[in-house]
Amino acid sequence: MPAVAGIARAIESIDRAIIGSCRWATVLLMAAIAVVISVGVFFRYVLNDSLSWTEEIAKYLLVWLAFVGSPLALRHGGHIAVEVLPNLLPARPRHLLHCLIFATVAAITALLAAYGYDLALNASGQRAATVDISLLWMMLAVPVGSGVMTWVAIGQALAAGRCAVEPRAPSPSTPPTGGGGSAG
Amino acid sequence: MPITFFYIFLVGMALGVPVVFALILGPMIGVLLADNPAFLRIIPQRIFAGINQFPLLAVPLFILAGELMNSGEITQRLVRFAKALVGHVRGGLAHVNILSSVMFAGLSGSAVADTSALGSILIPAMEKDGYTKRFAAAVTAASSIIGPIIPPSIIMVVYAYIMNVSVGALFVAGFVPGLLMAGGMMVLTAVMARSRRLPKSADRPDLCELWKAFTGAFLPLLTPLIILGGILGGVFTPTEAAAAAVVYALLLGLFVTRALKLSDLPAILLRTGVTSAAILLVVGAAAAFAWLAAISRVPNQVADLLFLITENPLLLLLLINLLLFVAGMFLDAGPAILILGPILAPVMVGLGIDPVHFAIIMCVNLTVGLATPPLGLVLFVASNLTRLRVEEIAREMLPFFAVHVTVIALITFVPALSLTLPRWLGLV
Repeated sequence: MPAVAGIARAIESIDRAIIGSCRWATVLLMAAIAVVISVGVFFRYVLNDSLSWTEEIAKYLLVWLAFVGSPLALRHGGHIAVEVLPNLLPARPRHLLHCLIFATVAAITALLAAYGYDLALNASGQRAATVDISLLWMMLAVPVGSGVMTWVAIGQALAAGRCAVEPRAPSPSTPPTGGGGSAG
Repeated sequence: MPITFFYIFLVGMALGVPVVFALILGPMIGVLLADNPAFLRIIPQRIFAGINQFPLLAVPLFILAGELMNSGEITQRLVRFAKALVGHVRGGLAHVNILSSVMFAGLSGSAVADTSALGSILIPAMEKDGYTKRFAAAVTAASSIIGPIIPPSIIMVVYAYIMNVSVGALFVAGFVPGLLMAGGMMVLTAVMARSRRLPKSADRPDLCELWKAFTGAFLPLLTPLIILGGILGGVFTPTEAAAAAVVYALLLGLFVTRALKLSDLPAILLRTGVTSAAILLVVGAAAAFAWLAAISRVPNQVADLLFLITENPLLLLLLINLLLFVAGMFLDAGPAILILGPILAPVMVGLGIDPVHFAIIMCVNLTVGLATPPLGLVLFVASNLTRLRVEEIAREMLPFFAVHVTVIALITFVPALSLTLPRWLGLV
């Protein structure tokens, strides 16, 4: 058994490292977007000398933000779901359904990661329009973020599955009740 | 392409798959079933291209500006000003709640943010004043839908992007419908104040308090002026206006109210980033979905179906309002706009409805859907704040809800309500 416990500990620390990096990346990307756009405005209107790269860079930062922030939203139930059916079910079938849902999410994001990686490699020969950076670095957002989402979803599928088998297990994070990622 | 992917999306969503993943699941299985696996590579590319858009940068920036204002205790100042204006009448705090929503709407573009910011201040205050918790929650939820109708508005940014309409025109067009909502709810509150004997507590404030409250709220209330003035004056793009609002909110919080500390920023940035990421991923997934819908000719099929029922534009508007209403009950406003906008708007614009008018109908209708069960995020937030069940709040909200429906009907059949202001400014 010590081997099993060791693996569990290792997985937990990997998870902490992944989620921690996503959190810091989200904070930095969000700050960078605000700064880049503001600097662009400042240069254009105050210094009367517009910078060519701010718009393009901000757009790529936005894609990265979407993909490193989404795993965090997934972990905390920030991706909105219609919970009518799961809420109608008793505890055990509900956990089973959640297990199935998260397994589906894991499969979708894994496919997205695989095809996204392909896409990024294909684009690696191209350069961004205003700065001398390979498009690979922009496109990698899709496979990296999707891969992390797969990791998170597998963890949640396992946790929900465990709840379905042994009702006393700690309940995994449930979908949102606080508004999460609503555009409204 | 057969439209199997559409049904798979619906089934996935009904089972409880998060909307964003159902939007990807449908097309993925759809192209596999249609034996077209080459399309699988296009899906991540469409998602990437769907997010990699300059106008969408306004989404995280407007959310950030709202969060900064709230952490900078701007909300308290707005509430104080609203209290000084209408707090002394019968049902005063209910009126204060609605008026604060109008002012908050000019700083933030989200009903969910409105409910949590104002609800956490006003629901306890209303309870202390003798209102029932249910009524306090209902007023907060009902009035918060003004947030995305009066500019700025996240869902209008999204609509403008996906449908290629001017954000400035939509923002301006939202003013009158938003004020109608507020006015309608305040009239209703005044009637209820008599029939239900709502509490009357505060005395009429003296001029000194009124002046103090006004000066406290003055600088924050300039925000919508900076945003709209900048966009309409051609100084800013909407994205740049949002960045200007962020800088303004930061300056207010750090140097004017001094309630914002630099050490608060990482937590605010994280919250904003995660919320934005979830919205942006939906936008990307919906872009992939809309692409498949377009090549499967879904819009044409829906148009044919609608024309089979009637070709009268007014009847169609009524029908579409009903459809949007049902969609709004089960979908969040963002995904509903992203999925239904590209399908419905071309049909109605083809029949001679102004694109800006239709955009307002759609945005207002789906915003009201944020406060209807079973999936009403505004209700969820109100329920979290009060520990009341969603159904209880929804039942208490019914009279307000009648106001919402009346306003939707008004703006649907009187285009001038939405279009007069943008016409004056030469935007449509």
